[in-house]
Amino acid sequence: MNLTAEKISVTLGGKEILRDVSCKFPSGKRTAIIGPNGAGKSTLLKVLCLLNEKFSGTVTLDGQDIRTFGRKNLSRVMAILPQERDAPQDTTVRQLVSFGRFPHRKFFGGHSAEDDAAIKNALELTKLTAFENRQVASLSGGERQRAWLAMTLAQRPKILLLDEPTTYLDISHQLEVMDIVADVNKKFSATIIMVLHDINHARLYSDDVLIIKDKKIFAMGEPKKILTAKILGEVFNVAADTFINSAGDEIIFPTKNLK
Amino acid sequence: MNGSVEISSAQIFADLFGGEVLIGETKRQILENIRLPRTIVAILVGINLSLSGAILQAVMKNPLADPHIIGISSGAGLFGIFVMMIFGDAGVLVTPAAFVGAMLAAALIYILAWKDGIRPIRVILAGVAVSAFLGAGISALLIFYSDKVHGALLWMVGGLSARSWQHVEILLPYSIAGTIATFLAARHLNILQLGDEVATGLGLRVNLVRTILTTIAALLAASAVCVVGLLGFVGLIVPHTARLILGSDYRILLPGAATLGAAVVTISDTVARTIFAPTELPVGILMAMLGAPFFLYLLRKEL
Repeated sequence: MNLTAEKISVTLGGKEILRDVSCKFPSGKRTAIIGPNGAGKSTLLKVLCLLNEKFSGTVTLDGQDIRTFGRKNLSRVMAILPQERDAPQDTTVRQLVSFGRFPHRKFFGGHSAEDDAAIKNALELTKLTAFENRQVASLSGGERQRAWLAMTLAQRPKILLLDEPTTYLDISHQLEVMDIVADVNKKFSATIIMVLHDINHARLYSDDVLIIKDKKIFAMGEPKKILTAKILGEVFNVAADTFINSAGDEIIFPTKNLK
Repeated sequence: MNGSVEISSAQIFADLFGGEVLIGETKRQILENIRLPRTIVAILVGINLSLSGAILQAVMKNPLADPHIIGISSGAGLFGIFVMMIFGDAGVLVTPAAFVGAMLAAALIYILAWKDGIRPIRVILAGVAVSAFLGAGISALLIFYSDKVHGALLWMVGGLSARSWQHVEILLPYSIAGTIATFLAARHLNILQLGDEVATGLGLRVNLVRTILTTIAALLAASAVCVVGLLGFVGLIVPHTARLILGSDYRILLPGAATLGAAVVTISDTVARTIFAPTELPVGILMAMLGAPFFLYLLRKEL
């Protein structure tokens, strides 16, 4: 499904966060949103899935305004993994993942075979099948992140939004999460929109990069063209060197703060 | 069936099933018209307060939320007493008025505690302030019109003394409707525990659901307050104990809390009634003596 944002402006508590942002997220593509802290990345992500409803402009899904979908219908096609979340101490991995089926249930409806299949599949994709009866609170940071990711996958979303999915994880867990996301994108041709901090993750794991700076879109396009040492300097005020890694990909390494 | 008038269990069973009249008319009257309705009231009040607390804990994201502590009971009490003074003790309007008071108290807590979402510690502090404010109103009413409200002191601590079939009739419809509504919302309560953003992402209309659930909790608490007064801590102790035993899945937790609540209030009342027999202790005193230390324990553990 194609997601399009047109002229999005957000003001929160008298403070302007986004101004006239327009962008397209084509079906089946992975887009990374990057930019300095406080630039409005998370706000844009929350507008795209109506977690933030106080914005002007329109967001359309295959041409239809997302405000007209209804909360539950929207959640059947779009899932978000926010940063702010909580679960009772004794919640098991399986319970958490099964919450992802909530938007697909009817008020008086029970558990369907489709629910079971979606839960099983989500556990497999995140390699958590062996952990399904463990308590989420007892897992390591990386496993816990995968459990929450599995919950959003159980929603069977056509569009998956991730707010800094690798924050607080060690390097190996970061790559693990990014690989799962890439897998989901490939297997279900799900559109992925993720806020990332790591420039090189954005470079290696996305088809498009959207740079937000000072409430506006600074640049959008293919990672190779957008993520250059020059643009990095303009956006983050840092000097950067470029290397070629063993796989032949260009890697950017920030070397100095220029502020 | 213990109390100031001794009737042994053997006598009761003989009377019920043996067809022999052993206990005499007076004792039979005591059983049928005093102790049986009182026990039913205890069961219903236990269910109402426990479910109300269980809902509030999820909705206000606060392990210490209890209709009494955060002032919802005081709101119910203030409005209930006001109507009692105008229309007399058991007017039809008392419970609806108490419900309005409970809702206003809940709204006041939300307004005071809301700042970029709900924070547990702000809910408790706002609740304490609301509770103190409304409690002062109740005390003022009771002092100025002490001649019009019987057993005012007893009502302030919460007690089941002299509760009769008439009180069962007041409570029963609210208990039934409230319990059904709460059980239907179990899955929504589970989702609400994941935090507002996750819940919204899963398709829950968080503010609408929160308003509906608060309304149910206020209704359950208000009906209990109308019948037994400001009985505290049941909504705190019972859901927590049920959570420790049964876990946090509301589909299991709610029936567990309702059952445990019925048992706790019934047993506590029996103990309070008999421990200094023939003098009765209001059950509210016993609940407060158990509940206050429990509250402090939770405060250290959870916040």
